Amino acid sequence: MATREAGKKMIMLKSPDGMEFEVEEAVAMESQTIRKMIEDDCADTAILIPNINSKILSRVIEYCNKHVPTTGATGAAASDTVAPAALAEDLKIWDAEFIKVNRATRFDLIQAASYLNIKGLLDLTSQTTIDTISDNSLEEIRSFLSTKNDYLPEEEQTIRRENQWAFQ
Amino acid sequence: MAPPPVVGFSDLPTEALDEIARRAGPLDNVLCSAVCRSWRRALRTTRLRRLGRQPSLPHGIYMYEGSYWKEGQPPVVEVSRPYCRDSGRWAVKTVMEDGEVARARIIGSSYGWVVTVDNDTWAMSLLDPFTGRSFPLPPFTDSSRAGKQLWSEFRWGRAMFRKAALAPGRRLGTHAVMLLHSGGRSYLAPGATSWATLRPPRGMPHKYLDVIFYRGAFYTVSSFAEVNAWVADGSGSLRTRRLTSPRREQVWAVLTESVSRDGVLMVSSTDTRDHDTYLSYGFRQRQYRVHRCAERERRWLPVENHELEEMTIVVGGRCSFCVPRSYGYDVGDHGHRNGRVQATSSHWFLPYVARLDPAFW
Repeated sequence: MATREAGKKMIMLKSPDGMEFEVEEAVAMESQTIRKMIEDDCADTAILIPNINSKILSRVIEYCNKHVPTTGATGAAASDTVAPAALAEDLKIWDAEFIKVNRATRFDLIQAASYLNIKGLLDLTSQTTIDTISDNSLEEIRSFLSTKNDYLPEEEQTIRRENQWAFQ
Repeated sequence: MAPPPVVGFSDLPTEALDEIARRAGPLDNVLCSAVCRSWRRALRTTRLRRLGRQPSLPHGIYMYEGSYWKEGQPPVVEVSRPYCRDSGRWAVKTVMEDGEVARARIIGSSYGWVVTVDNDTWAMSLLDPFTGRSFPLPPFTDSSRAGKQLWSEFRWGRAMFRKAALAPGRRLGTHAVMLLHSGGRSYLAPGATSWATLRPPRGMPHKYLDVIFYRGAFYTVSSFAEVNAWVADGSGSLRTRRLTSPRREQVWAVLTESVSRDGVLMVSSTDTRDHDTYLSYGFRQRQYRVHRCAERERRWLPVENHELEEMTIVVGGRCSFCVPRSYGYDVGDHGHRNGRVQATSSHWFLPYVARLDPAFW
């Protein structure tokens, strides 16, 4: 890691709990939000990422790091020796491992992916969420997502009347 | 600095919630919006953005490819509301995901999705006209002798598939479809991979004209104005209940949910030519009558004129609906007006998002 090219521009990301992360510009630009900041020259010093704690931010950076060589236009050295298909397969396995987190962490990741506008990560986290609740009934979905039913009883009645899950 | 509060599902950003729902299957709106308020709100706000002003009004869909569209261009679905007086011309063009548009026809619309069928292969799919997202339905095949005969008989005809209606399943990602075709009725149970044939109720071999899904049941109307409700029987098929007795004379009829959404209306005419045939004759006067279904008395009660004054019933070739008159909806030259009933040949549909909340009307 010490042989990092001098030409690569580094970006400093700061989490609200005070941690700082130094990442390559290309990695940071996986996030459309940060890309826009860099392009608008708002990223001279450290970029403060609000709402995302250091634990989640480090995981997001881990994701971006892994994904940057395949999506980046310049292409990293690693892709020269491995076939693209095998690389994509590899990445898929890595993604599957990456997303094996508890529910709260996954929601944090979704929030981060949404705020930072990282399409790949948002796809991954959303798909995982929907996969866990697919083919479940309303009550099961609520318990899986540990969401409270915040409808008033009469509203709940209306919703049920509207839809009447008759096809059981 | 204190760490940020733990994010729960309901606290997720609007776009993220919609993103998640979008992966749930065709009827994502229905079940997802019932889970919690923030999900419902997210689905409404993100999807209403696509609909322009007055989203609860009907939209028209047109499919273009090849000669209808620029050569070499991907097939496009255009959603527009050209006859809406106060919103002007408004159109969204969507590039189709799977590229098969030219030979496809729309045979039904519910919950904002349209059911399309390929004229040659009978491949059926659900299409979201706003995103181009399409969702394949199991192939409509019938290996019985009758089915084979049907196939050869209607191989080249356009009258094969009549109407289709869609209903949300109890489980996320599942849906039921009821299909009326020249050979009878078919039903796709939620989660099923093949179509089942629905037997007609005893002593009622009538032709079926229309089907809608309304409050947990499919409603069909026959060419003798007999209405049946079909509900799940718990074993993957449907059982039926007759709501009104047949008339003596044959009619042409369609069904629609009333504007107050508390009952089923029937628009009928004693002129039995079907909608498309009728319209191709030119916009001649056709007398329509409107009835509401009185379930208890098992008959149709005429709807008085003063009851109709507040609404316009749009009778479309593929789906029909009521719109409140105060919205200034007018199909203009595109259709034929007869009192409060307007007949139109186009493929109209109501985007489901607008129906999430009755207060929206």
